[in-house]
Parts: sequence; structure tokens; C-alpha cells
Amino acid sequence: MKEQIKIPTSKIQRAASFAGAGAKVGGNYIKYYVKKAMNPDLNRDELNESNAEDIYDTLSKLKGSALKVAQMLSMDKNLLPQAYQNKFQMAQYSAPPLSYPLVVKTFNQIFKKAPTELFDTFEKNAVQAASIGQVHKATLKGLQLAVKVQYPGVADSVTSDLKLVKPLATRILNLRGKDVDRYFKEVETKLLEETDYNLELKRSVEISKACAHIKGVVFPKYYPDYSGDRILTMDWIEGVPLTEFVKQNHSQAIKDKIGQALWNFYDYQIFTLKAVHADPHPGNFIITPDYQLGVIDFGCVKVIEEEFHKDYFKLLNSDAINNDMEFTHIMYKLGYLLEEDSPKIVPVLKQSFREMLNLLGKPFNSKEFDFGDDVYFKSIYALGEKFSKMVELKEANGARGPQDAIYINRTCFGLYNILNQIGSKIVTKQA
Amino acid sequence: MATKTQKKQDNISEKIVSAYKDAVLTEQRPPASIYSFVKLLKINEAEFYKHFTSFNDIDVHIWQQAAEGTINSLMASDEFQSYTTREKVLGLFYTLIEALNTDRSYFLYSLKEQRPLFRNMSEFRSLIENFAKPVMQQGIADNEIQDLKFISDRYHDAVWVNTIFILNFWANDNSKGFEKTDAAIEKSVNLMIELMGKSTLNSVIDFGKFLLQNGIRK
Repeated sequence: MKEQIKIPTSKIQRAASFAGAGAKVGGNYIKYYVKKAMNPDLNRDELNESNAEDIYDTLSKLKGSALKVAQMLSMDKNLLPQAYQNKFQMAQYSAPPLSYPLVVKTFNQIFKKAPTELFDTFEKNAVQAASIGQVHKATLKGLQLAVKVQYPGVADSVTSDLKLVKPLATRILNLRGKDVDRYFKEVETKLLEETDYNLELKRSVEISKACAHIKGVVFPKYYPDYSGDRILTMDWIEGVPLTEFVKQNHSQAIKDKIGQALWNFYDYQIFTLKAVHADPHPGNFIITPDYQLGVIDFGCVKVIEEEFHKDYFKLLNSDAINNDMEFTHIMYKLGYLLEEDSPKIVPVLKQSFREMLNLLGKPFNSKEFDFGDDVYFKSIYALGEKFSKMVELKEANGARGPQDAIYINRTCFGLYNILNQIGSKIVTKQA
Repeated sequence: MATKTQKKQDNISEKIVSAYKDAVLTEQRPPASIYSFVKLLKINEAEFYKHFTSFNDIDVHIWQQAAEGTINSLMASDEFQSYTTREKVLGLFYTLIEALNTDRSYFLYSLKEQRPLFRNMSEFRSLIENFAKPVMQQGIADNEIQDLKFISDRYHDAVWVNTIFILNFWANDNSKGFEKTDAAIEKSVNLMIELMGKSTLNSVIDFGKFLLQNGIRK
């Protein structure tokens, strides 16, 4: 990777792009009221449409943790229009690579030694960018190592990015300020956890040990003695990143093998470990030369609470969805339906959620599922578009559903999306 | 024998410096007079003047030592010799901030309380600039930054301006482990080298000249 010498996006610039959208949305309201004064028949649909366009423009300009949040929230509200989905994968912190002197300094702070003193060899230029840092290649006693170094000040920028995005998110998603707090808390906690390499080390070791028996999945070994607050050292896994792999031509058997390993890995985490690698981004996987799936980067792990797990995953079962009494009960319990909802809106909401869940649960409800089938994905997007245009849904208060669902949804979307990119046919066992 | 005397002299010099630091950090102002200061130290005035001419002279000395220590440790590193200009400037600032961190209280006092601001930094400044000159020359030779008539002779001034920016940033930095200062160093040096590199500065000057000749006249 070439070190880019470029002026990085500053908080001010990002703030300016938020302010831009805020002003535009405000402007649309003014336009709406002026037009309304002239023509009292005008409904809010037109306003919502022009808001949606401006919001989308702004979202697509955002980078960093702000983008992650905005996308996750919009995703939870009414699935995800195709355009957002495309941007979703690109959500990464926007930071240029660390200079080598700063890498040296970080090592000095943690180990009182330069990287070249600690390892036998250490490559000055980073081989790739990790989400909040970069990876250097090193060797020690014949071992090939990947050394992840974190950008300075990332934790601070998470908090300030979130402060920036909050007023905008509440407005564009039509939420009330206090409703949205619990979602922001959840996202902030997770993003801050990602900056804690000590925690990542602990989780990496735990999960890779627990999942070691899964066929076709390999994990790097981690080296606590060579890791610290902002440095994480693990085995170098030889292979192609999944992002590259999906662009290459491979036989269906290989695609299925890798996809199956990925599916089994997530299935085991969600239903057995109840703690899941919640960042299924293609950049976090490496395909080894013998077509094993290498899993790196356990920065984002979502622990699923028992009670939530029971209710939430019941919804993936079509029997539960179609049993009206049970379904209604769970909807209220998880907060997708609220006590204050008018009797008029409840059936509409129920129908929409049911439609959505039936679609999303489809892979779990069949023995075999072809993720390479684009028709399925188009129907998800189409449903998303449909929901985003439904006036009833827009008017219903937006803060629905448990905060725990944010990362679970993100995991499922990410997983489906990767499997689609690989083009795998999966034997999905009954949940 | 000579070395022994030298050593003793150094000890006294060090003793004066540390007593002075202690005094200003406790009182947040210099001691009332050299007379009262040497009395506390139990040395005579003549001894003091052998080493320093005034309190200000001590401040100059402390800053100078910080720069000397930084530059010496950079020069001693083999790796440093292989750095590019950008990396050398970054290395300078990271090491300098490390050095200043060992005595942060004093340097904060000096940056915030002593006026005019750069009275104490005369020696410090020339050390930084003399360090920067060959580094920038190397950058020009390696084509990392551009050789510009009149301007490239003053590149070391840019390094000095950057130093002041970083010192001020560091003085007001409350982040854990001064991580934000690291980011400030990274970003400001990137910008500086970028401005000097390729044709950026040329275009800026070219445009400026054009505006001067045509735009502003109206």
C-alpha cells in the first residue's frame, strides 16, 4: 500500500457536510410551508421525498464512524435501499496510513523498543489498512506475523463523530431525541470496544479456540507478549483477501465450500456461543491457498443476551411468524409494536414486519439456500424501497425495536451479502 | 584532573538548573533575585555567574538541552539515516515531544507563563533549524520536495513554524498519552511536505503572482 500524503478530512469538514444536510432539510421544510400556504392540499409526501434525496446525498458523502451509525440506523428503520447497501461495505474510518516514525513511537511507548528491535524483520510500509489502523508484516524466529497498529486518537474521534451524527440522524429518521439514545449508546459502546486492542486480543483468543473445530475455518494464533493497547500481533495468514477472491473465477464447488464454512462459523457463534463476530466485512476474511476461510479482526463482537436471543430468533421461524398470537406477543415484547400505537396502524405495522421477517428468515427456513440468486436480494431491496415509501410507516414513531438488534441485523445483512458476492449455495440447517 | 573539575562544574550547573525548575514550578514565577536564589542553593553568586548570566539564561539552556538531546538521539539511530525527509521531520517532532514530556510541567510553564513567548527559545530555534536545513536539502536532492528559487532556502523556516504549532498543540492537549499531539504532528507534517512537494507550491506562487498582477488591480 502506498502511503497517501493527503489532507485528511477534519472534523470541521465533516461538520460542514452535516450542516449542509441539516440546512437543506430545513430548507425543504420552509419550501413545504410556503407551498402549503399557497396550496393547502399539499401533503407531506412531497416533503419526505425531497428530504430523502438530500439525506441520501449527505450520507453518501460521510465517512468514518458517522457513516457507520447513519447506515446502521437507517438499516434498522426500514431495511436498506440498494444505494445504501452499496455504501455500507465501504464504511471505514477515513485516515491516511500512519507514518513509520509514528509506528516506531507507538512501539516505544508500549515495549520500550523499536519494531526492528522487537522483531527479526519489520516492514516499514503497511501492507493493508485495517478498519482503525494498519497492518505491518513482520518475522520473528521463522514465524510470519501480521502486526496491527492503531491510529492515535481513534477513540476520541468515535465520540466526536457520534455527537455530530446524532442531531442529524434523529431528524432524518424522524425519531425523537430521547428514543434514539439507547441506539446511540449501543453503537458507541461497540465502536469504543473496537478501539480496545486488549479486549480484541482476549476475544480473538476465546472465539478462535471455541470455533477451532469448525471445518474449513482457520484462525491466526495471537501473541499477547507482542501486543498492547494499540498493537496486536498475530500469525500472518497467507492467501487472498475475500474482497479480491470474489472478483476471481472459481468453481461452484469451491464457492460452496467457502460459503459453507462461513455459514457454519456464524451459525455456531449465533446459536451456540451466543457471541458473534459482528463485522462480516469481506476485508476481515482471507482465503488460503487450500481454500480455507481465514478469520481476522475480532474488533466487533456482539454478545447476545439469553432472553433477547430466545425472542428474536423465534422470529426467524416461519411457524412463529404465522401464529398471530405468538407473533403479536413477541412484537410488543421486543418493542417493534408500542402500546401507544393506534389500532389503525397496528395491522399495517404487523403486516410489514411479517413480510420483512418472512423474507429475511427464508434461508433459515429451507434446507438449502442459493445465496448466489440475485432475485432474492432484489426482492429484499424492493421491499426496502416499498417500506421507505409507505406513508403509514413514516408517520409511525421511528424508534422501534431493541437496540440489541442493531448489530445482529448488521451481522445477518453482512453475512448474506458476502455469501451473495461469493455466490454460494449453502446447506442451512433448521434453526 | 581537568576532567574531574569539569565534572564538578557540570554538577553545579545541573544543580542550579534543577533548583531553578523547582523554584519556578512551585511559585509559577522566577525567584525574586539571584541573590536569594544562590543563598538557598548554598553557593556563592560568583559560582552562579560562572554558569549562567541570568535566570533567562537558564531557560534558554533548558530548551537548548531538549533540542540537543532530541537531535543526538536521532543521529545515533541507524534507522534514522535511511528515513525520507518526511519521516525525518516526523521523527524529529515525535522524539522532541517525548523529550518535552519528561519535563512537561516546566515546559508548560515556560510556554504559558513566560513572555515574550520565544525569548527562551533562541538556541532551541537555531538547533531545530540547523537540523532541518540538511534534511530539507536531502528532500530536494531526492525529489521528495521541490527546489524553488528563493523559497527552498527558507524551507527550514516552515519546519520552525510547524514546531511552534506542535508545541502549542501539545501544551493544550488533554488526550490520553497525548495521542492527539501525535495526530497533529502526523497531519501537519504531511501537509507541509505536500505543500513543498511536486508542483503545489509552484502553483500557489504562480497563482498569487497572477492575482497580484491582474486580479487585485481592479
